[in-house]
Amino acid sequence: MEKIKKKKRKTYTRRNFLKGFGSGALSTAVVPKLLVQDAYFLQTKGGKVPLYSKKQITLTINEKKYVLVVEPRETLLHVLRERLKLTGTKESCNAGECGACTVIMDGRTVYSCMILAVEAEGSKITTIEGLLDGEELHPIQKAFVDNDAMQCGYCTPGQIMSAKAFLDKNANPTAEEIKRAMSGNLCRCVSYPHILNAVMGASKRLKKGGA
Amino acid sequence: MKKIEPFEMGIEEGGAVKEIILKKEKLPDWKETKVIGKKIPRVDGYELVSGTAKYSSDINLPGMLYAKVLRSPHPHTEIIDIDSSKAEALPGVKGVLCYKNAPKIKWWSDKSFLFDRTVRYVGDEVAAILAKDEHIAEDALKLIEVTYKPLPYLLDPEEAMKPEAPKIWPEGNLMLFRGEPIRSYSRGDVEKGFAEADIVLERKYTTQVALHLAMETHSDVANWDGDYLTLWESSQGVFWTQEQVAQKLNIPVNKIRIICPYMGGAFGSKWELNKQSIIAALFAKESGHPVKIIATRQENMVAYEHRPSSIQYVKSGVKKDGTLTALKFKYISPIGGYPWHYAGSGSQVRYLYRCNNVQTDEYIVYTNVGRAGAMRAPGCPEESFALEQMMDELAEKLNMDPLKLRLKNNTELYQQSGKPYIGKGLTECMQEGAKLFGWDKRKKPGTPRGRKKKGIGMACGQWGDGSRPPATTIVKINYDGTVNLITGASDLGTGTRTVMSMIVAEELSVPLDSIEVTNADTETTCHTIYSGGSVTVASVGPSVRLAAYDAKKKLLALAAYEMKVDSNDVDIKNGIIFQKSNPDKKLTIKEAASKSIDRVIVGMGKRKPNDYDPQHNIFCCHFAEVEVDSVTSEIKLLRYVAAHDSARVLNRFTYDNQIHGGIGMGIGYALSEERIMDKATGKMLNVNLLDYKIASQIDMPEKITNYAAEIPYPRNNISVKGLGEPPAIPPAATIANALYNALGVRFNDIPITPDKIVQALKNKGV
Repeated sequence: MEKIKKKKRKTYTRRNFLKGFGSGALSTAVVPKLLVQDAYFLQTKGGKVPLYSKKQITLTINEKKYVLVVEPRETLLHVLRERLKLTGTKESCNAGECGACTVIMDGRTVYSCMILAVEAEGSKITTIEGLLDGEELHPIQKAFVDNDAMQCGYCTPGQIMSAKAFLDKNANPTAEEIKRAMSGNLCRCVSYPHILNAVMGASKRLKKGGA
Repeated sequence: MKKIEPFEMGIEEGGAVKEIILKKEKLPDWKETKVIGKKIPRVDGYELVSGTAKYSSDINLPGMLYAKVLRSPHPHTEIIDIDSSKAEALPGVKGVLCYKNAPKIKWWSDKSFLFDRTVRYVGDEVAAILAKDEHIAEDALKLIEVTYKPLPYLLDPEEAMKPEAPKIWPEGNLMLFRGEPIRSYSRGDVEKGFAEADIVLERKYTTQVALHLAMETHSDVANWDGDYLTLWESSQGVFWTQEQVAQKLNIPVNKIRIICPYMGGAFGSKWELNKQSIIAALFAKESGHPVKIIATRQENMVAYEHRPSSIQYVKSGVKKDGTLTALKFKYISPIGGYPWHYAGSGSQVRYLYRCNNVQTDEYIVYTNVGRAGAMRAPGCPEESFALEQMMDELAEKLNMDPLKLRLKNNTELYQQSGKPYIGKGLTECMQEGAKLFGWDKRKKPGTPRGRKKKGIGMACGQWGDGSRPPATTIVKINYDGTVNLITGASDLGTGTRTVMSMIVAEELSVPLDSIEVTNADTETTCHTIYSGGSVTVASVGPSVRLAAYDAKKKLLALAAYEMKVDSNDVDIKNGIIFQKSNPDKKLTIKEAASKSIDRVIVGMGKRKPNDYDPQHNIFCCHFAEVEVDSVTSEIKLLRYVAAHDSARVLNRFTYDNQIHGGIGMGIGYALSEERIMDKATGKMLNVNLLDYKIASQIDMPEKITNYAAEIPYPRNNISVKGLGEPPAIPPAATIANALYNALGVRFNDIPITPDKIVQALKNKGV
């Protein structure tokens, strides 16, 4: 009698899943093979991205293009600071709760620690470094200096990016509107009153035509 | 009976080391100032707003590796074994440290080690991983297998004080102070005082654990060049860090360079050396690569320093005319698993108001809940919350204005020595603050006023002026007339770089933008005291002024020689040196300095020791108006007046910012901040910034007015007192007193969260 060779179908079973995490040395090569054909994908603008293998992406930051190979779990914040050495954007909580990592993505503020680098592909990103005109300060940055709107300065880039995106949409804000818009940027040194003055001052400067 | 000795926060009367008093050149106080006292934008403003300021966490070096720490999941446990083989096999992992291979470096007052076999709170360090990047390091931590043997643990301080409680340390659960388990102070006879009183009140107050939450967590980058270590650290004092690192690693001080570039806040949390610094240094030496270690926010909330909670029992006696006759105070503070030598209350009860009969007993208790450390005015906001509400209650019982009761019990004499305070401005703060605020419009507490109830309250506070040496500063005038200021002080965000530059600009009479400041680097700057305890400006500032003065004298002598005039007949103004008797004869600073054959004029200034006398304190008085929605319990802060007697205001911008800092922290402390621990497991439950809520932009008072009582303070040559901590002391009590005025309900427990307001109003029948 002929032996009928049964083709072993690799399905996602608990046993297969656990096998990859058994005893012995783990290598990053073993784990992805087991999981990549399964349900672990992330849907992004650039298509489906498997979660454990690396992907080449192109990021547009401050009007420059950067090509890099990232793990899907790397956040935009991590890529900015550790991969691209753009350390102006700060990490303070890494959990989307404090605003220190605020950048502008397609015109709206986002917490870059809550954006995966692979998700950011295809978007226009502006960081604090992008506000400078050569070495000249943006009017909002000048307003912060002139109103002493910072102390330790760690939350300051995030505050300024929030202010920029807000003033781009609301050129005539009231104090109450500024407070609400900036309430997602924590400052433990409590520069809040001076920050309010700075954003108010910046809105007036921008109306007059900058500087 | 054992003699009960007086003591202050870390300073003992008569305990100052005999200092060699140097040649006494007393600089007269500035009369009119050109830059000092004005609103001057920060000299490093450009760096801070452009993102070009480099913090320790921003440092990137070639070949840099990353370290992460494995922390105990148990509140009290023995470590039986650690198996890191799986972690070490993960590609990208470069090393592991744990009790098996780490040097036995003593830690916690020699009671423990860098990696101990017993750990004493959730978050205590167990092991560390070194890897190519942070993600691999995180993955590797999960692969370390630790066999724990959990031990009985204590979370409640009053439970820990019971004789049958399990012992966290062999000597017991009370931290010893000079060999005694209770830290006691006594003045007069409290029982006699209570007998004399017409009204006696007894209350219990409780305050919660609060966290520093500096926006930059603890960050270190360590790099060795042979046997020379460079450590970039977010540190309150590079020389203090250097001293601690030298002691831990047992290497000479000249082989250690600590650099604190810009730092993202501290509030006391970056004063004591943390284990991560040594872990980074050890990994860097072993691997031959630079190593970066940054505490995550979650680690920072669970495992690093915190302001301890407190249980306070206050008993006070007062006569009908308002004279305080007795104050009895019991203070229980759980400091966590390890000793902390600055634990204790803050001396408000002992010295703020005049009282001849005082007894204070402090119990500093070990528990398995984190580990306490210094946070902005240690012990003071806690004690002020209790004492200032007690004063308010006494005033109400006496049918007296709370302001008048405080004024009545004001004392111009330091009650330990009987000597008068120098430059005490508390009365001025109380009276002028009250005027600015409109205190006279105060209504009776709890007068019903519709759904939204308004109320006002006040509170006072005091802090010690701990300013002292060491501080050595160099001022260099270069051959092109520009100036370098070299100071060892860290700038925590307070504006140290700016005010020190302003002192040079004022003394040397040169434009502020001709001064470049270098600071906080043990190699290029000279030994200077840490920035903490509100001592920076009064410790370092005088040495900066002396250095500028020294450079100025040398410059003027050189200029006089060039101009062929008498060296006593020259002066400098706005960078122009002129002959006093014939001002048309002049030289620019550049023309004069370029004539120096040394190509540089170096001025040096050292902070002189204090004429020791402990009657220098810093006082403040805060007023607040609150509006409470009695249906939703939402609290709005309408107006706030902060009056401080910090003597001369050096820079009005940084002064205001500092005070706002204390107020904002106080608002969080009073109304929302709280570390919530699970009583069953000893784990922190709200390890995130949403559930541990600090003040945001919308929580601030609508209007804040700062009053400065600038009373001349001859203790140093720039007439300044410290400012950093006093603003954080009274806000909680101020707000609690205002809430009482609005609602007629006392809150003796903070934070005053909405559920407590709802319950209190319910109990009152509103």
